[in-house]
Amino acid sequence: VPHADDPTSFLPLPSAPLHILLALGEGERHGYALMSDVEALSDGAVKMGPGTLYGAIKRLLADKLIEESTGRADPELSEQRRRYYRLTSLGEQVCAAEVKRLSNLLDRAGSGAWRPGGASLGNA
Amino acid sequence: MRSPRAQVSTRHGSLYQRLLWLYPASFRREYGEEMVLVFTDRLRAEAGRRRRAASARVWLHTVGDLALSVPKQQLEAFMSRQQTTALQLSAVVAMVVLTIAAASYFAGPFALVPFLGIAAGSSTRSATLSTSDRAPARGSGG
Repeated sequence: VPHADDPTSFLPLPSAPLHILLALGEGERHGYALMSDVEALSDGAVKMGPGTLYGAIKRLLADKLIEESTGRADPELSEQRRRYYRLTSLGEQVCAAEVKRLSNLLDRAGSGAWRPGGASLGNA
Repeated sequence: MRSPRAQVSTRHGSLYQRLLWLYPASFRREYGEEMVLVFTDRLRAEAGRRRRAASARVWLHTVGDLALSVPKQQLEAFMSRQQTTALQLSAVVAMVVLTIAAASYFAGPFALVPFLGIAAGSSTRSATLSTSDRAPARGSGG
């Protein structure tokens, strides 16, 4: 069960929330900017629709990993007021912990621990 | 007066807004307006190229998004005992069955894996939420 005292208790993060946290690491964003940034961040591999995006946002808000900031219009898009989101301190810690976990995983995969035979990715 | 491009995205936006009825009422109330904004933003961004093909591409992606996210939200709402009408539930069940059938037809039985993952994730999540609802507030940030 995720617990705010232990950021690692939120791990592993599903793909959509992880990408959203990473995108918010560069500053607060509204929904469409998040969707575009996630797509760019993943080289087009992760394309979120509005339902997936706001489902993940709902979950991240409930877990207090992100929070709403001041709503305002984005002059580059339209005059309609939008909700902006930003990382909380807990969100930063959880994101950092997940990045570290994935980095360790890649290191192990690279060193050959990922296959019983001991063949590393470089040798495959 | 609105430009033709704005009129097109408004028309598509209205249709998408109607489809939001498939989501639980609480989710729709909280995020519906923003979801329509994101959808129309995407349409406008894509419409710079061939407009019909761009709209079709956005709709195709959106239908896939609906097929995955509606059952997930409905299941979460159901597990947390929010109101879901029988008609909504029937529509969701029909959508899930059709999506699974189509996915199985095109991608084989392994296409079922993501759906099982969503179901498992949603039930675990709802159980966690119910537990934390009962527990005293904890953690930082209120």
